[in-house]
Amino acid sequence: MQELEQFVTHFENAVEGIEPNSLTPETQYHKIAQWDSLALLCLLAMIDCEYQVQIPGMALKQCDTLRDVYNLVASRKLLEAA
Amino acid sequence: MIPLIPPQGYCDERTFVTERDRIFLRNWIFACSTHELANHEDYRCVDIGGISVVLQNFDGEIRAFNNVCTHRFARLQPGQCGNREMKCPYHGWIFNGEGLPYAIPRKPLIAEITPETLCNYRLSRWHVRMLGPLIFIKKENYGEELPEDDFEQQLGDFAAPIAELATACGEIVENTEYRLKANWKLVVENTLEGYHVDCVHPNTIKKLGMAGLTKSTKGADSVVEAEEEHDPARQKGSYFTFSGQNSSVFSSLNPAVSERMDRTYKFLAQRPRKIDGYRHYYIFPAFVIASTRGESFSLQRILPIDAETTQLTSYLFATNGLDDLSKMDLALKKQFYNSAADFVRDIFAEDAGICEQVQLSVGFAHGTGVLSDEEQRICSFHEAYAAAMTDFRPTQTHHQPQ
Repeated sequence: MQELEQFVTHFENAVEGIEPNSLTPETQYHKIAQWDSLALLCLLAMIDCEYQVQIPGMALKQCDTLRDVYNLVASRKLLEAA
Repeated sequence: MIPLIPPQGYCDERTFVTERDRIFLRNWIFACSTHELANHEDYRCVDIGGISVVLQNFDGEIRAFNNVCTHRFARLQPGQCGNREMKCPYHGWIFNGEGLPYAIPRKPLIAEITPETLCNYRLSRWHVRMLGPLIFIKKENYGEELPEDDFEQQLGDFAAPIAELATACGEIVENTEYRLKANWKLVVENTLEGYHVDCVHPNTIKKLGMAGLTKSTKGADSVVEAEEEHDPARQKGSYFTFSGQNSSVFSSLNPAVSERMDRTYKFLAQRPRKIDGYRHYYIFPAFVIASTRGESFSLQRILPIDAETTQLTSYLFATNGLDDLSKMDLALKKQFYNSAADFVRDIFAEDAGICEQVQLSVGFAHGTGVLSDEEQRICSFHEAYAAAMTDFRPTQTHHQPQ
C-alpha cells in the first residue's frame, strides 16, 4: 500500500500543475485537467527514473486509474527481474 | 505563379541524366555525419545519381572518392557502411587516403604501372568540407580551381545561421534511409511548402499550430499575418527568406506551448542554440536542415536514384551541451527525443505517401500547374533548377593525370 501511495506522489511531482496530495490511487489520471501528451512523456520518464522500467505509451491505454498504472509497472518490473 | 518545371520533367530519364551532370556533380552535397566516420577505416557510401561515392576515415582525415577501382572497375567498398581498408575485393588493390594504389598484388606483371604513371590510377576524388559534425562533398573536376569560399558561396546568406545550427548538433537520435518511388524534385517541393499540412498532416504538424500564409514577401523583416486570426491554434509570424538558390521559412509557435515546454524540459535550458520558433533551411539542390527551438535538428539529404526514385536520408540530432543531467532529466531527455523521432517518422511516412501518389499521375498531367504564394519557395527552387540546367559547362569526367 505504501508503495502505491509513493507512486501517486511520484506522479503528482512529475506532472506539472498538480497539487500535492490531490490524487488517489483511484484517480482516472487521463481525465485530470493537466493530462496531455507532455504529461504522458513526464509520466513515462518518471516510471523509467524511479522504477527502472520502460513502458511504451501505447501500453497505458489499458490503464484507467493510477492503481492500474502502478500494477502495470509492478508487473513489468517482475517480468524483467525474472 | 507559374511553375517552370513541366510535368514531364518529373519522369523523364534523359532529364535525370542531365540533372546528375549539371546539378549533382557541380554542387556541394551533404553526405553524412562525422559520427559515422569516427574511427580509422570507417566508411560510408552515398549514391549520387547512380554514382557511388565512398567517404572514408584515414587516420582521422575524411576523404571521398568514386567508389570504383581504377584497375578493372569493381566496387571498392561493397557495403553501405562499415570499417574496412580500402581494398578492392576483386584483385586486392589497396588504396590510401590520396586515392593512390599503394599495394598492388604482383605489380611487376603490370608493366604500365611505374612510379611516374602511378598517379594515372588515382581514384576520382571529391572535395570534403565539414560544418560541425556535418560532412559535405563536391565532385573534384579536373583542371578546375575551387575558390576558397566555394562552400560558403553555395550557402549564401544562410552560411552563418546554418553553421550555428550545425555546430549545435549533438548525438544522433535517429538516422533513417527512405527509398521513395517519386522524383527527387517532388520530394524537395514537398519540403518547401506548408500548403499541404491541413490535408496530409492533420494529426501531426497541424496540431503544432504553425501559421499558414495569406501572402508572402521576400525579405527577412517581413511578417505575414496568419490566415485565421480567430483560430487559437493558428499563430502569427511566418515568413520566407531567399538567398540565391536557397530559401528558408520561419514559423513562430504557440507561446503557451513554448512556455509549457520550458517548464517541463528544464534541462533543455542549457542548450547552446535557442531558436525562437521553427526554422527550416533549404540549400539547393539536396540539403534541408530544420530546428524547433534549437532542441533538436532534423536534416535531410534528397538524392535521385533514377527519374522516378529518390533516396531520402533523414538525421535527427539532439542538441549538444546537455551536461550533468540528473537521473530524472536523463529519463525526460530520452522520452523527449524518442517522441521527436516518432513525430519525424510519422511526418515522413505521410509525405512519402503523398509524393508517391503524385508520381503515379504526374506523367499524364497536362498544363503547367500553378503555385500559390504559400508555395513561393517552390518557385525559387524552380528558378535555381532552370538556371543550373541551362548553365552547362562541360567538365572532365574521365580520369586525368594529376
